[in-house]
Amino acid sequence: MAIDLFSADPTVSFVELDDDASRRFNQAADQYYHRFANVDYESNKPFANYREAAMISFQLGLLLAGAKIGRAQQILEFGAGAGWLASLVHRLGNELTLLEVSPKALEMAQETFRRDARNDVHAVGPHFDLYDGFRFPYDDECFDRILCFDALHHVPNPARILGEMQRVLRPGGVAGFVESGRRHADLPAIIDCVARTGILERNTRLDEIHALARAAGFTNMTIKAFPTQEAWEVDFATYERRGLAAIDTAEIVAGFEAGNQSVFMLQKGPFAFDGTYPSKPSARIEPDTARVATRAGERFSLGLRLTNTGQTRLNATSHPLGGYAALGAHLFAGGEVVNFDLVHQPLPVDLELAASCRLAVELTAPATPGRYELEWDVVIEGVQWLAQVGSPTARVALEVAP
Amino acid sequence: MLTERELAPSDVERFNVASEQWFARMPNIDHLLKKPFGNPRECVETFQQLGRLFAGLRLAPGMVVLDFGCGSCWMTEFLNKMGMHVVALDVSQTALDIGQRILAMDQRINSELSIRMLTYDGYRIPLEDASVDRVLCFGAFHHVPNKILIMQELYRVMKKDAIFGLGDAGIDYDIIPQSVFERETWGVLEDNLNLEELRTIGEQAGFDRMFLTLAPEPWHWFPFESYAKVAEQKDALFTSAQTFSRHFEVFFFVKGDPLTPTSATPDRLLAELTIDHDALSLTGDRLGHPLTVLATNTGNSVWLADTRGEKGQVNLGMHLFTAAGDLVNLDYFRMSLERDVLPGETATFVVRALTPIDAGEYEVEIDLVDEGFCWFKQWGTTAPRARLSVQT
Repeated sequence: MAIDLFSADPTVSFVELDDDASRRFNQAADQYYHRFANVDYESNKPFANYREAAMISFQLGLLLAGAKIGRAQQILEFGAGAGWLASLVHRLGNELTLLEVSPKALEMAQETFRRDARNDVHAVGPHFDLYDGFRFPYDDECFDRILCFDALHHVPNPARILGEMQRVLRPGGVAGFVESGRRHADLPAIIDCVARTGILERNTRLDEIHALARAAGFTNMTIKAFPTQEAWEVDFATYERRGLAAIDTAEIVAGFEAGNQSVFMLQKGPFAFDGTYPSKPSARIEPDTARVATRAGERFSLGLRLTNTGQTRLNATSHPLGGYAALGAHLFAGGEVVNFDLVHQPLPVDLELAASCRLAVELTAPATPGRYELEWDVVIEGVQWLAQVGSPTARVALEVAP
Repeated sequence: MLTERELAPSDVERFNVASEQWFARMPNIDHLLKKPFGNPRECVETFQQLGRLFAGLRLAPGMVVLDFGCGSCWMTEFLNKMGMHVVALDVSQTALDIGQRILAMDQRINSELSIRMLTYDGYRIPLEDASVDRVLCFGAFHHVPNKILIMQELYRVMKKDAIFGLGDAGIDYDIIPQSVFERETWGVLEDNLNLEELRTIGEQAGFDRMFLTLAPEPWHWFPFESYAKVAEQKDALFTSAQTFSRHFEVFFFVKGDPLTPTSATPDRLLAELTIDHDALSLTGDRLGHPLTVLATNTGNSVWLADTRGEKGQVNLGMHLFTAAGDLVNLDYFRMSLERDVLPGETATFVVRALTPIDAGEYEVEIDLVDEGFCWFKQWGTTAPRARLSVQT
């Protein structure tokens, strides 16, 4: 069936098939997953096959970068298969929803999550959802991101599915894809796979994807050219002689064009940084006083003024997975850390770029008298302290009498 | 120069204690449980480097890989899943204890492969000479205070044809804010690496050659509209490769000649197979006329004739089918090579005898097998067939 499709018009790869054909291909996809005797191979990706591990790892890096995957994001993985990618992105601290037409694939995905107890550490989700191949079972605008790893080119009705993706994505959201290359479906191994399994395989042409994505309402598309593995290696002597000119960029482009994979991102409206995906977050912290004198174990209060001086909105609403900003303080004595996490206090309001707010922090003095120092910083919970990316901290001397 | 700042024993002690303290005093180890999925940005860079490391190391299942400075053992987990025996080595016992706990959480760990967890004193790696196929050091080498000595130790424990792959911070690493933060907060060594110095200490340790991998940084993406012109935008690609390689180097130290792929580390396995006749007759275990099979190595990997029971030996094999084409025995026949076959060379097999089977009409498919890996047909070789008449 799939072979007929290609021979009918080999230059049009992403044609929209009718509903009956869509159902047949989606059943074939389910049968495909029934062929796996155990879940290990699929669930151990990208490491299951030592030959594929290098390229999949590299592409995974590109996908996470391009899709701006961060922390505490609601992420839909379309065509999640046995769940290997979802489980990795879940462990980054995001809330994953795995969507599949194949009940068998979802069953394998649940097994993938069950077999690794690290998935239960501070987790929200994942959610496992079946759909009918036509409509996603979600309201409009309820996901921050969509990921799709080698799934779109198996879809019989790509225009409809891209429309569904655009519908459920929030404004400013990104959908990230790793898909087949221009000649994928012409490879002997893929033709053989189609003959054995009846699944749909297509060539991915970026101009076609672009046209379909625009029609679906995505505002822009970005692409990453990456080299084939052979083009990565440079002998040290050559590198010394030619420096970075030893990289043949034409070869990178040619390798990408001829390659078996393409990586692209679709954007829904303009993107803005926040605590779930910060960029150069920075804050100015101005304590009301540089020195506090108190007694051991006593309560005291400190006022501070906080200004957002970076490019990232400091969103305040707390979330169990982090991704929001809080005021923090480390306690030092004689230059040594006494308590790294002394204070984590939520901000009273979202701090837009260049905005300020005031905070009052209630503290208890250490039980042991002596000279201490409080170092104030902003923390994006679960992500980073702003000092780690160069934001200035503020220090307050703390003198504790007996 | 790094070569001039090999630190005194007291400093080595101090930094090793700091490494142990870094793990032991951590307020919350959840991010170690999730490593390398603790921090999104780090995760991107890690996987970009991993892709290049795995490719350059030419790993093959069954190899013994030293995960040097393994920390909480996340790389050990990946290597296990890729089919490697792993030696996980760190100066910090706490790190290994955490690693043990993490590995126990994952039921997908392959328990048929060995994972040896070892601590060392910062000087001598507790392994015998020539005992590992590959060394992988990820993000740990810049914490090592005595790099010259350790490089020599790594060379010592590597087999005669082996690769040490290093993924680490590059130039100017010691002044980026994250490093300053770690150094000032925890007192660990956040050293600078540069290629010149690494080459010098690599050569001094005895490595035969070095290579590196470069790749474009992951953050710069082309809009679709300008992608069509990307070939003309060489400068943009060039700049992005430069940005990437400055901070995230991946380089390799080569001992001996492990780079030529063999059937034990196959890259492209391909053969042209011809048979001198396709109508065989078998009486008892004897063929009426011997079958001559010519096998030309048209791939790029050396076919190994004898691996002493390990994976990767190339043999001639036959599958037995009924005359109607139904499979009777996938492993009907094996015959070994007389010697290794280089790419371009041709091996000759003369088959005079087969295992006796019931009288009747059969078909055999003649193929090479890379034992423990695959039949050559699976990687694209055309396997000829012959009829087989069996008399009583």
